[in-house]
Amino acid sequence: MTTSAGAARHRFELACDDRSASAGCRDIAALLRTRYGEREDMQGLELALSELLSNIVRHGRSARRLCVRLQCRDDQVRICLADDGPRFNMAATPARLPEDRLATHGRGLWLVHELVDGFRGHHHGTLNVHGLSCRLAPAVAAQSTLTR
Amino acid sequence: MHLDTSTLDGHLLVAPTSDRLDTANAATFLRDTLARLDGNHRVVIDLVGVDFIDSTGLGALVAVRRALGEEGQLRLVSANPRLRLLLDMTRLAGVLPMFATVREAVGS
Repeated sequence: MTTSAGAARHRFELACDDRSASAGCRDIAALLRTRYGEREDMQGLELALSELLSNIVRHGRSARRLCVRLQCRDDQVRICLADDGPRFNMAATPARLPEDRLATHGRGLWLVHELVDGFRGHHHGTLNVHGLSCRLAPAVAAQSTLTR
Repeated sequence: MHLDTSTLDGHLLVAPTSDRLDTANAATFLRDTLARLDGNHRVVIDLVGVDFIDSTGLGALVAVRRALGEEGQLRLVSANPRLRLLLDMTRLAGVLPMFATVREAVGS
């Protein structure tokens, strides 16, 4: 982890399993709350991160490495996830709510697209790299991204 | 995942003790809830102690609703505005009606 004035970088190495994804999401959200305080738009960011991590551990079952890099600069948060699972670009995957309201799957990536502005994916060598970014509104005027 | 279960006015009450319902425990929650149905078709899931639910957790709740069949009834209890927003956003509010208290959920 490195920190400089007004900016901070953090790196997390996670095992590719459900428990590690959940714990990693909780830890990263807690770190962001320490920096930015409890705020409504943090909920949307935590949910988006949870969806991405769970997608990686579910669809990248043969992945051995999952690395999350977090960069905070002023009100801008960037999160980059890299995994060595099967080639997969979540950001390019069509995402819409399932027509069957009783569908038990298929809402996660749609939520990510709804909750964060900058959601990108690409391949770097053998790695799938996904990034998301968001600008956290000033705490006093924070609006829930869940309401969009 | 540990579940507290009881019955009230013909409803099975299920309360997960974890503060999260997500990819780490949704499958266990679903399995353990289904194992406790024992013929009950009216179920109330008390989520008052749950702070965070992702789409995997939502999927588990929908799976319980499916298991109850068309004549069944599943109601959620939570005062968490984030969960209400998430249900509205994913258009699940009609499938998973939410109430502020167990009494309201059972009595409605």
